[in-house]
Amino acid sequence: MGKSRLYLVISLVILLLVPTIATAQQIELTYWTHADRNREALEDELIEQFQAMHPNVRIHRDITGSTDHRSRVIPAFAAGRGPAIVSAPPDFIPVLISNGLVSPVLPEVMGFDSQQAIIDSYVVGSLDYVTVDGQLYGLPLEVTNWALFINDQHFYDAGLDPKTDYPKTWEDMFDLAEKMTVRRGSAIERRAFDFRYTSPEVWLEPMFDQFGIELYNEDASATLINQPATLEILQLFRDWGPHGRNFGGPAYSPAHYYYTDPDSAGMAISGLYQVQRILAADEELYENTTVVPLPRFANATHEVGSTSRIYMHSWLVNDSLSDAEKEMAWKFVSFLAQHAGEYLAATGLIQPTLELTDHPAYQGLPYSDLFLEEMAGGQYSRFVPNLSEVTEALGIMIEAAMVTDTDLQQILNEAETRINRALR
Amino acid sequence: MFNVYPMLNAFYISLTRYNLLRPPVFVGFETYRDLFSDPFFTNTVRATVQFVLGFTIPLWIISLLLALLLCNWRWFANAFAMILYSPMVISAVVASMVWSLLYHPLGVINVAMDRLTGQTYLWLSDQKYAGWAIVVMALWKYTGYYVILWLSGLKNIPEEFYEAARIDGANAWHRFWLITLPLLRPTMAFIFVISTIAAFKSFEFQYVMTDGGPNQATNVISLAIYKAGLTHLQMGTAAAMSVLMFLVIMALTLLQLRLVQADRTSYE
Repeated sequence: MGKSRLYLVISLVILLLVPTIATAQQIELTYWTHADRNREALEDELIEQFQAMHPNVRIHRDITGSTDHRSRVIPAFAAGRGPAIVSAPPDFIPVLISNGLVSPVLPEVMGFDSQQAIIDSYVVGSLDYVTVDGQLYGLPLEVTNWALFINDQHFYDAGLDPKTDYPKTWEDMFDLAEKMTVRRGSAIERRAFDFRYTSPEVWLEPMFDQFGIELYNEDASATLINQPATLEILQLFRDWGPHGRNFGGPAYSPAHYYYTDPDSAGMAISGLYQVQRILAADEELYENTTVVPLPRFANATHEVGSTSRIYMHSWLVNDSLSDAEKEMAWKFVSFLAQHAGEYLAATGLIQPTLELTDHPAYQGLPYSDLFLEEMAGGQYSRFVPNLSEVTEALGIMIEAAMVTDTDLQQILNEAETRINRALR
Repeated sequence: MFNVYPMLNAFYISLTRYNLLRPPVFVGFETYRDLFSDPFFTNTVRATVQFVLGFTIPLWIISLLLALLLCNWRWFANAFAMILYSPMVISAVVASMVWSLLYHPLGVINVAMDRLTGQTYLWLSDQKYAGWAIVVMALWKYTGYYVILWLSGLKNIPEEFYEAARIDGANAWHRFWLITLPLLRPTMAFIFVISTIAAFKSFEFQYVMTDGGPNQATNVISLAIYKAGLTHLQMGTAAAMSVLMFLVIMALTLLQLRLVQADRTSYE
């Protein structure tokens, strides 16, 4: 009877413990990311492979459009309900890191001795944006820099050769626009080129560099853009817009969507990922596309390594996870990051690992050398907590110069006020 | 509890610097002082006033005139009212997207303008026109709804009053001025208040069609609150603007009710 009782007790304990042990080993991780059809298919496969390698792990990926993704990430973290892993856009990275909401990278679970070893496995400087006070906080889902995409046919139509007549300077761009713009009344039917108004920082900041204009002072407590040289840059936008020579402006559809309407614009600012999108949308257009660096100013006073800023979407891991979840989350991110070649082949996104240049996908992708060379000479926008507000102020400044008659100095003064308020 | 607490909390947040991610820091009325000295907030106020006045006053007049017209029509009055009301059933976002295409530099409106005047206009990206372009679109969308409201008020006025007035020799203008308008006061009060509140809260049109541009010409207060709170994570600023908007709406509502009900007319 005594023995039976003992067996009964042992059996009960085992019965109670088994599910507890099983539950403890089961790890559920949420992964929030923005929509990208090509990437979605690739990550479906990678998640399946990772779950096969770790049967106790379930990755719940949640995809939303870019705008929805942006509007829910911060409130979710604020409410303590942020995802385990998030692909963060560039302006959210400083917010999440500086508020201590994301975990530093765990090198040991990723097969590295130290964070420095991880940094050393990427192109020099490419992880600077996610390295704060010596700590590495993220791995790049996407490092994008920018170049000028040319629809060759528009050059041919104007009697030009895109391989030799492409614009090397902004002054050349005005001459080309004179020849290539097609108008109906005062409206433009076909633009030679137009700016990427939604992300002004990536092409505007390198314009500042060419005149030695610093956007921020040393401790990023104030802006230094209120200088005569900035007025020269603003004059370029006024001349380009409807109050100047009327070559384009924010009224028109974004020029970088020209692959869906090839007649809308002859040149646009875009990243390497655009090569894949053009190929998917229109094979003939893909054959008739030339990519060159963005123009420079003929009267630039400073030499720059690149005419575009780099920007990053980074995988970050929620710091509020348990240690076991955090380790598994970094293991998953590391697994994704080991497939930089596949990401490049499927989506055109650059994850600048040193191994990437040896990958067949890199070697087979047109213009990948151009983008990587530009990247080596380029830099990220400076890491400031209210980056989104600074970017908005720059966008409003450009728009005001283009679509109003307001005195450029007044526009610059207002931008300065706004940026200083954001930096305060 | 459900009404008062969020309002009090919004007021408290407006006295803090708060980015959602760290505890709020109490700064007193500093945010309000900053707002009043901020040229961008001045732009926001200007854009809001332009939209509220540009939308509400024509709306009251046009919808009342249409309602009077429909009230006296014998044929197809209901069908016409239904046609006028139909834009209301389209979502504001869809309507905004459709009108963005109409206002496109190469859109239908510019094609017509080109034929008529030989000139095209940047309706949504010239700050002279953008605010008014949105007002026109909002009027198209909401006039039908207010026509229905006026009609319901008009139909509640007993026919005997008009008959008596006719016997007394009152012409159409006298009947309108001395009978219709005074007896429409409750409807008028309702319409004035809800249309003013709706105009202050306008968001979707500006968000979809211009995102507040060009040069902030359409950056109305609801959009500015959204951007300050959810894009720039400045909850203190967003809350301060919300409190100011609440106070202005409250004051205007009380003023309108007072004006409309000041001279109570009774024919009972």
